[in-house]
Order: sequence, then C-alpha cells, then structure tokens
Amino acid sequence: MHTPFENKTILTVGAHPDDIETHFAGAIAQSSRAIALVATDGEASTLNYSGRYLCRR
Amino acid sequence: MGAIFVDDNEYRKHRLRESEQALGLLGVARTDQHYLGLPDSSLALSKHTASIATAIAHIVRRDSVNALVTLGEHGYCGHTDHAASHRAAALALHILAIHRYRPPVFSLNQRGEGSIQIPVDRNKKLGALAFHRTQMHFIQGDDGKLVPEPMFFTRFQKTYGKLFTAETYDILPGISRLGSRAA
Repeated sequence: MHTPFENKTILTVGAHPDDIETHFAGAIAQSSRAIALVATDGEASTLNYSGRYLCRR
Repeated sequence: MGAIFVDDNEYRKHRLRESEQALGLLGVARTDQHYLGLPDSSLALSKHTASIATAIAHIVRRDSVNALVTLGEHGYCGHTDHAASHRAAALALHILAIHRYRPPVFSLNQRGEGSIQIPVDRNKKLGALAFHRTQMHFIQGDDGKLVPEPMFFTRFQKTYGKLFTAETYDILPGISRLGSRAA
C-alpha cells in the first residue's frame, strides 16, 4: 500500500515525551527518515494522562 | 506504585532517557530527536507557540523535511499542549512560505476517519511505550520484585485503541494544493 510517507523525511511534532510513540509510530515506520520534536520538559505524559501524574512539583 | 521524583531536574533527565530509548526503538536517530524543554501546560502561550514554530521551520529547512506530522487541531485527546503543538506547525508554514517552502501537514484524525490510513505494528508501539517506566504503575510480583501492573497497557489501549491498529491522517486544509519545494 502506497502512503504519503514512503521514502520521505518527516518531522513529527509532539508535546510530551511519549506523544510521538503513542500517536505517530505508524507514520515513522513508513518514512525513510523520521525526525521528532518534543516541545515540553516531560512533566506530563499521554501514557499517564488519564491517571495521576507521578511527578510532584 | 510508581516512581516519585522530588527533584525536577532528575525527573526531566529520566524522562529524556526514556524518550531517547523509545524513539530509538522506532528508528529515530538520537541526532534527529529534538527536545525544547518548555514547561508542561504552557504551549498555548503565544511566545511558546512561536518558539516551537521557529524550531519547526528551522528543522524543515535544514533537513529538507518533506512532510510535517501533527496531533491535529484538537490535539487528538483535547490536551491544550497537543493542540498548541499543531497550531505551532501551522504557524511554521507561514514562516516557511517566506522561504518558499511548503511542506504538507498531516494531522492525526481523532475519530480514526482520516483520508490516509497508516497501519501500525502494535507490538512495536507497545515496546516503545514500555520504555516510559516513570509513567507506569507497578505492583510487587511473587518474587518480591516490582513488575508493571498487568492492566496498565490494557487500560491505555482502551483509551487510545484506534491508534494500535491504524493511524489516520487528514491533510491540513489549504496545504494539499500547494507544491512542496522540499518534497
């Protein structure tokens, strides 16, 4: 199946560490090169979004 | 039971290491991982959205990026940081247009109804997520050692289940008609 990411360099943009893995792993696998940008310092996460955050600030 | 960090810097270091390992498993080289370190829940501030957009534009030009991939207008789950990261990508297009770069933007469709369907290797995605040990809950196993709580990923997949079979994307309106110098 042809996808728009094949043989392409893609830039995946996420907010938290684990966003890229949770949301874009399929797109990354299809690309020839994936670049990841994670915007925050990692206090929160999508993995733990529905639960309590484990970091105490 | 989960890890409790009382030192912010130590916690950030752990999260960074987890992310490096997880992205490495997916094939993202360490040199292609960029961490801006902005405070959580602050991305909607215009100055932070702008700094993300500037970083995106810089990477696109430097590395001849062919396409941007974002969490979508509503951030997939509605998280304000997620939505702001998408807006930053849209803002980056305006910066890039000055330099005649117009990479298409593929935004994740939260209903799983996007026009572009990408298959997902479920086990690989779970394997990558498993590196984020600070975000997981642990129980004491029979041998006394801590093991991930068995239902953790089951609950997570219940919330994000669609993303474990396929990712579906929309092309940002108004972008698909434009040519792409980088493509």
